[in-house]
Amino acid sequence: MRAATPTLMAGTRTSRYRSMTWLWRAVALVFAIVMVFPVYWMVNSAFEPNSQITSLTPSFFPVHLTLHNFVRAVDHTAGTTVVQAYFWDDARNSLIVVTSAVLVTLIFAFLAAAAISRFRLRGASAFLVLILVVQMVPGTAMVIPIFLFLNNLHLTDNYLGLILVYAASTLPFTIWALRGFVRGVPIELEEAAMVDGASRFGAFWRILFPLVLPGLISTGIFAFITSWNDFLMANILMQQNYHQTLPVWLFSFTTNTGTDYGGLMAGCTIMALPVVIFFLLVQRRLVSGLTAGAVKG
Amino acid sequence: MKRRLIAPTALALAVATGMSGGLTATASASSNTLTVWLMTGDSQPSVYTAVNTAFQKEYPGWTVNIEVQQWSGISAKIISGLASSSPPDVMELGNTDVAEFAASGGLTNLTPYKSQFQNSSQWLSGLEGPAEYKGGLYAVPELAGDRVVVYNKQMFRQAGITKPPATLDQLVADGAALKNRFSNVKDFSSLYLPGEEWYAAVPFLWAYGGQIAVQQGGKWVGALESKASLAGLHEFQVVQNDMSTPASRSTNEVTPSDAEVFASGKAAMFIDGTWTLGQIRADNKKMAGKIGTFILPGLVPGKPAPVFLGGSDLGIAKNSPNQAQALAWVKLYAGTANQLLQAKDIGFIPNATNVIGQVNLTANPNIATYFKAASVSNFTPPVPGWATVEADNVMQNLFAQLAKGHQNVEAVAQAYDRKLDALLNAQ
Amino acid sequence: MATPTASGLAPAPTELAILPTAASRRRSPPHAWRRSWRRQLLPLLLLLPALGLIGLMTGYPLGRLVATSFQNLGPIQLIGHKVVWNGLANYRTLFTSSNLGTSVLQTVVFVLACVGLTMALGTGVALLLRRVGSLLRVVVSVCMLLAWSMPTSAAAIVWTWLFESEWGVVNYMLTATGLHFANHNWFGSAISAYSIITANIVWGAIPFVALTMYSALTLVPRDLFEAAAVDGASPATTFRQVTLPIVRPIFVLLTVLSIIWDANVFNQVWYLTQGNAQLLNVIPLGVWQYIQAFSSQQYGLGAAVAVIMILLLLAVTGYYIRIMVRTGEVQRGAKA
Repeated sequence: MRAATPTLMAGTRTSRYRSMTWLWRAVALVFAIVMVFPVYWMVNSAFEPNSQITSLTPSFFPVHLTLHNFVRAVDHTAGTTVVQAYFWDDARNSLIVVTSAVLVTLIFAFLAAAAISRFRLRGASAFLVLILVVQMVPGTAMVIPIFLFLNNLHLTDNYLGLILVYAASTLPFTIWALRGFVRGVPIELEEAAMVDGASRFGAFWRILFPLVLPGLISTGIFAFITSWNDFLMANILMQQNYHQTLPVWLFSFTTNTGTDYGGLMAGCTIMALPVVIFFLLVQRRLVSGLTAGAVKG
Repeated sequence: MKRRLIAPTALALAVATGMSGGLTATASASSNTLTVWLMTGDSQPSVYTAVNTAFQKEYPGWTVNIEVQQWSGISAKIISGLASSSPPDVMELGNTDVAEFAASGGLTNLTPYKSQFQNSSQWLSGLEGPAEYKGGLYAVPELAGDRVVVYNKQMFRQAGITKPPATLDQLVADGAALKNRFSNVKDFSSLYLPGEEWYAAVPFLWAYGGQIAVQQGGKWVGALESKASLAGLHEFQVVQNDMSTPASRSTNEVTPSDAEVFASGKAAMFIDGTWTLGQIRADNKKMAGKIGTFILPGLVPGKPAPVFLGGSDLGIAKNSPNQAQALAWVKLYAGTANQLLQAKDIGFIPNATNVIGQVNLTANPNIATYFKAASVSNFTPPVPGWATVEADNVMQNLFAQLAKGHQNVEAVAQAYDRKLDALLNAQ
Repeated sequence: MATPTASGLAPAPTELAILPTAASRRRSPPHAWRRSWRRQLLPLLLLLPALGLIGLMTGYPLGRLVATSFQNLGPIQLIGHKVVWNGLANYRTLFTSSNLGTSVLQTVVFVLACVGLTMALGTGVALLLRRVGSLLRVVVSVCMLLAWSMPTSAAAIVWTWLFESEWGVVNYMLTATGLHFANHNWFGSAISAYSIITANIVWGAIPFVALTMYSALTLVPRDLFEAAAVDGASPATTFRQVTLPIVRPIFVLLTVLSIIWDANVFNQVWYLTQGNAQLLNVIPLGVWQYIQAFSSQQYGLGAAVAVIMILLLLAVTGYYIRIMVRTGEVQRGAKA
């Protein structure tokens, strides 16, 4: 049947199918251009001198190509304002805080997803509804309550405080999403391992964990981007300049006398880089993992 | 097996807590540390480290912790900082924001100490005025910046203008001469004046003796409808419409950049701060010797329009346990020595008229214009509600409305007076 | 709290709930430890870290937020650590304010537009990705990933440039095609500003939805398509009868999440209107909340707006949440 189907289809609607294919290709291409254009404009601006960026005639290519914006963004000796001097500190803080938060989120979410999907747990639905509901709280409204709470615990201006805030804010969605991945893995595999003498945890760790790894990666990306781009909480919670994170650093391009758009766009480009690299690294694995999971299911 | 699963969790937490452990020690407001919040782009290390060194001579064993803050979200950060268990001791506040924080009860009333500050009798009114709330002084002038007219000397010469205008009428006449001479330049502005650049627009109002708002029986009421104000607003409309491009009626000074319009030869004048002078030279190196400056003239020669003074003040947190030390630091920062250093190193205008007189600017006449202009400055209503007026871009929109001219000046003034009445008296 | 904003989303993992019909018939593991108390204790222990963290870092502050909505909390009370209860006064103020109706109405229309467009376009792109070759698929995916990795603040700034009236590229290109868009001010009226904000949010949210839906579509077993083709079913029928039932759970989840996230949108509105939101009368609840709390420094009122917002969201999404829970329960029942 597998072999027969294409011929069957080919006989009836080859020409229409072809012209449609070209139409779809054109649509896909236009869509791709629309999606990527603002990104292109950001990078283009990052390589242009400030005078060109807000000029009266837009230029579609960086004709006055310059690296000056990037130099100004990361090199504290060239920086115009004091905060830009902390780029490397802030980059390190961002990496430490965000990766720790992502790790905590993934571990907690994996345990929770296993608990919900692998056991007949009373109140599991209530828990799922609860974590969906907590996402309805507007982030701007939580700034002051969270600040006051962490201040009482002496966790302001402290990595741990920010890590806990980020982990808690990304956990709900991560649990929802991971639950689906756990369900996609047949329980028989774990049961077989347990028949062979593995404990319940051994089965989770050796069988379930590697199989939901693609799911952990893709939910990890979600958690990473959400925390990576946060300004609101980081700005309020972290006080010392060398404790702050990259989004806070990004705002140092805006001063009382105006905004250094070239530096800002260079900064944005630098900030987007880790995410893009991370994506490109795991992308193949992500898709193949998902498809593999589907076939096995 | 159980152990192996738990291990990563424990590790992650250990990593997290371990790192924070190292930080907590430095972060907590330990004794003998003075914490100062300064805004990004204002004071610079060369200036505040000098103040810190002088401070440490007075208080040996004390360290000063300078934390540079971002403008975005600063109001929420200051309020939560003031409410926290370890508030910053000294804070830089935008001069028009002081009233808001003074009203919140978070700032120390500095009135009893005023005489102890150097030059306090000659502080710039544009900085001191907004720092006073209900008769008390809640912050101390830190630094100032203003805007004057930047002009192209070569173009002036080519149009047969020998000296900068001495009155507003002369300015308009010169504008006509320039427009006539450079009619071949596309989109030419004799004075490029974006409708939303309210810092440049409000001196027109003040030149006629007008006010944005006045106090009447304990309440603040919009004063745009007064006779003097209307004359000033009308003058702005005429100057904007006659001298600037139609496209500039609803734009600001940043996008497109006024300095760039000027550098490209499409304008003979524009109004902006010292920082734009370097920008012009960066955009067009040929402009180097052609840039001149003058203060926006008033109604009669020798009496220029008061300028809008942007700048910052230093406030002390009422909850700070280090009141004496905070006061000592602020005194040093606002003192003559540091104000002169700040003027020399960063180019900010000193906080008092007598200190401005001590800065040697003979080598740089353009900067001298900016410093001179600061002596005659005006300020915005010192009420908490003004912060909302700024947050909502009310002034930008007022002048853009006038520039667009869809309604007559009286109607716009009336509408915005009602807006000001509501915002300035909001509880 | 770092609430995920519409453009700050991750490619979602697929909700595989519906999938493994064959695998659902599960045997009970033949182990003696499955005594009833342990059966509840072990999963509870696994759930505890997540529950504890959410309870601590979200639950407790949320409780304080709700409490704040019954207090008069301004800067004076905040700095002086004074608690002044004022009962329902904040809610009374809000309900007598003409802005509440405007804000709710704007939020509903705005969220409907954003979510509708996001889901329609996202699903469309996912289907499109199955129709094109692997090279083009990679190109489109990478373009989406790039758009999605752009910080919201940067995206908003770039968008304001694109739609700038004097020299923005959009007006430039529209004018070049002969339309009268020279000096068109896109941020001149509430409706026009809302259109740009919606476009920006949909642009930022499409990658997440499209990639998730695409993953979900790859789960539809090929045999089913082939069987449908053999039966001579039209593409529309195939979509309705084969594809839709399989991707429905993830579609519903994405819709609910989009509603929640778009209703909370703040960054994009604030940046794109350049702080002019209130003057333009662009006040969706998320922004009105911020204005009440931070511009006006009335945290009690701001908290009350937040509570109203949560209740509204609950009412709107309640139906779908019940559907999701019910399908979840069906699954769990089948498992035993």
